[in-house]
Amino acid sequence: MFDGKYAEFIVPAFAITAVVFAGMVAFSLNHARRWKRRFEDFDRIGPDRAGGDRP
Amino acid sequence: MSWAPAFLSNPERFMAFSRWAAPMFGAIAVILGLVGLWLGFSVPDDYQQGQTVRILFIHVPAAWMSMFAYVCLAGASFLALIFRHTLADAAAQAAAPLGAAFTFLALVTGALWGRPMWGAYWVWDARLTSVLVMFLIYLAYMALRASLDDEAKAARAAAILALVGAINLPIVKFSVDWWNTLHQGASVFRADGPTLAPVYLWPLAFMGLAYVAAFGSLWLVRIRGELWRRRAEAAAARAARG
Repeated sequence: MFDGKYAEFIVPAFAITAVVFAGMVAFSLNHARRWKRRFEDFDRIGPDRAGGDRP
Repeated sequence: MSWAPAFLSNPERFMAFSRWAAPMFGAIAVILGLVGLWLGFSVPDDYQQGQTVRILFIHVPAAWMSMFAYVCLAGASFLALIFRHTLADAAAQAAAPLGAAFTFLALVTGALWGRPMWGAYWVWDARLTSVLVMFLIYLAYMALRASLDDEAKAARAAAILALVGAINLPIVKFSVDWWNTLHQGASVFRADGPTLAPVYLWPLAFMGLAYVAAFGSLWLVRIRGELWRRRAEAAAARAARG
């Protein structure tokens, strides 16, 4: 069982992994949701009110 | 393989598939990851590595995924270059940041394992250096795509870069056999079977499958986002033309 020995290496390794995974999930979901919303706005209300051609 | 170009040429079919597949892979990744973590923190210490053996349960799958993501990037780039499928190009574009992230994780967790075991965070041996080169190729791919306004030219140039960079894949894989490296040789995927003790093989297997499922889920989500972006920009271009 893990009892804290070498924690100065083990804890950062797991913490950095967790942060990178959280970042990958957040960026991927945000990217997909943002562009889906943008496309739906174009479809529904047109480009002027959707805020132009780029977010 | 005739189904592959047909599938890749039909974004609607992909959107229908990925709508349920992405969350399903995500859920599988969470379950396998939790089991893998529990097993990983339950195993006895290694007689040489002590407790740092636990870092390998996140380092080795990250290293596998860094190569797997590059195979996906190169395969999708090849299909995009030859068949000019929109979905294949979106798949290549979506794989690059994920591959870069997994390669970054492999490098950082490897350094954190190397310091207590080798006495150094970094050595310029063939395995570490070739993985660093792969990381730089991922960054170059993303920079190249971002630097060109013409999307078709950017896709073509980036696909060529990805295919040229694929030369590095066998170098990464066989670097530990071709050169005398500080990094140990393969201990899982070997012709004569794994040399790793089963007590360590199980957590590694769960974590490896969790990483594969996580990559699958995130890749699908990113491809969906990329297709939405292209649709939105096409709608904007149509609107601008009146």
